[in-house]
Amino acid sequence: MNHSKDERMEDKKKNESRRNFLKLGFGLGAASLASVAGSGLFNLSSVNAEPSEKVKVLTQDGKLLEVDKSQLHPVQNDIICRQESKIGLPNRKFVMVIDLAKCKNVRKCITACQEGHHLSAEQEWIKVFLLQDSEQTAPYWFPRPCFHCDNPLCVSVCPVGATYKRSDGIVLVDAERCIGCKFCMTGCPFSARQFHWKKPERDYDKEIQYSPETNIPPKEGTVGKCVFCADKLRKGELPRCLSACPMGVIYFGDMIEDAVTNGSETVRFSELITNRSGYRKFEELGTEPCVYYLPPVDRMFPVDRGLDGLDQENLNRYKDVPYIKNLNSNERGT
Amino acid sequence: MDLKKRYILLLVSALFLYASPFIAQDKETEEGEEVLYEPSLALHYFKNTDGARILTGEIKVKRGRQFLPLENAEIKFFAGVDAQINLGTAKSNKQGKAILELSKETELPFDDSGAVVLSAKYEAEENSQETSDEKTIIDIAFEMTLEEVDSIKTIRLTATKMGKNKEMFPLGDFEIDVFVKRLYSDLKIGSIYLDAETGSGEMEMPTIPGDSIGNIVVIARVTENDEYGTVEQSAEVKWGTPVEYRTSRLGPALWSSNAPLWMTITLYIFIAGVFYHLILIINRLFKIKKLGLEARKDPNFK
Repeated sequence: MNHSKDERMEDKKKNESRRNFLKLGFGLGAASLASVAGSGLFNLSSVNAEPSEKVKVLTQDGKLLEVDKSQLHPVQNDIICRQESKIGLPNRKFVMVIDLAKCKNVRKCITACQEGHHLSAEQEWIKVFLLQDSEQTAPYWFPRPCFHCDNPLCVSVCPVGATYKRSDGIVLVDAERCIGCKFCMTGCPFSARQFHWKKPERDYDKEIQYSPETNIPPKEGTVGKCVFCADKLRKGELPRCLSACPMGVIYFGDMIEDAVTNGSETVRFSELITNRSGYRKFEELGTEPCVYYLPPVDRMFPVDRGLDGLDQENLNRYKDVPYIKNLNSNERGT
Repeated sequence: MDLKKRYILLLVSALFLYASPFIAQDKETEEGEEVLYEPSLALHYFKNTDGARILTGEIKVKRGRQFLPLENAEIKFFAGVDAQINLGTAKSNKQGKAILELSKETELPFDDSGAVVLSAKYEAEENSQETSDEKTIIDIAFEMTLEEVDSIKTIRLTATKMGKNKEMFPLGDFEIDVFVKRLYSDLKIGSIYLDAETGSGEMEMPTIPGDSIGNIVVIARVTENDEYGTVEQSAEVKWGTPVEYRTSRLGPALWSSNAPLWMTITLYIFIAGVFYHLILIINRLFKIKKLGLEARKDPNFK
């Protein structure tokens, strides 16, 4: 029987598709065997254990292996999926305390946050302002992350439910769901939210899974904000800004446990707030922020130290502060 | 350019690329020495509740003004004067910490005064110098009891210290800190002063929140002491104030039942109006069809 060239090609395609189908079937079968072998992901390691039941597992490079069940260990998946990220850590209520007396605008918190959440240089989820309550009072540095309010206006106004508050107090944004309407940015009285105008600067592997707990990979045309490093909290680690701060400005902890730490010192939250007259910014708005501030009293260094080494762009941010205006006019006078 | 010259150029470029790291290294070395890094190693000794001992070698390298952790460095641990006993080897992690856990069965060579010399060593590699650290540790042990005396929650602690002939003697005139385990760190709740003669002391447990059923973990700890290292004893007790935090997840207000009544009624009127018109249109279409069919039956229909 003579086949024409086209017929042969068609047969070849059919055979290939059959092969692909069989490959897919084999892959799925192997995957299901692996899933039967145990729930979750497994890590092979050489531990000393008695030989026991053999199970089949699928390796990362697609090979089917038969291994001893005792050699399987569940591993923690680092990426928390969207659904899982909506559930907070049980019986926790996270709180942050910022000691304004210690901050000297080192900006390590900002860079650590940008590195940790793959943000560009102009995106700052934690900003450091130079505040001066009146011309007669001393200025002070004021770090401002998202306040993770208990009555968050951003969550109330979101028309698609892309931003939500978890049981542990953290307010997250699901960029997969965000339509970029910016209602939340308008709703937030603290301007803690930022819009991702550009595509992310780095290239991401297509298979990388998005997680609202990290906001990685960032998505163009969506809104982002401080997430209290929810991914790290889940692992029992402290937020990046806190770990990076050399001055111990930021305290973080669980309000239920009544303890906060800045990495080197752990104190009772209630005592810290009572003894140091802690307060919440714009409390009168009724949003009930979860970020507390300790007043900038008994400062160890002059506020000018925070201006050292700043580039012109950053210096320009503070040009309208009366203290800086005076400094500039004095410099011009001399 | 002929082929031969091209090959020579390629070979020279390749050699240059291969040699460039070494050229860069030479810039950082002093007086032509091949050693680049001068790592510093700190040995830490930790003894936990179970009596298991953990040796940690923390290795760092100075780069500029900062000390950075050195990852994957092989640290060897020894015990005894002149490193008689090789306890094992561990590789440093991302934090530059090489951790070696000694089993309870591991017998350390304590001398007649009850002290043991422990050392950690990092051997010289291609681009780093060797470094080591040594500590003389005296073995101490705690016994912590948690009991209610006259409805006062009391933490009692007795500490002993290894002395002559490896016998344990009371550790007196010494202060031990007491902590309560919290989520990200341990909260210090007080200190217990140990009596010089008996080596024991006590403190009252303050009111502190526990988990949902009031469990807390109490830890008595000596931290990074020059003579004893870090030694701790912990125990779980139901002495905390039970705290259970429940909050309903807050959704968008647009779909909540908290909308004002006038808005709800207006919305329903609008929706009802739209559906009324849709139903009316369908109804009229059927009526038209029916009229058409009836009209066809009419003999006068044209």
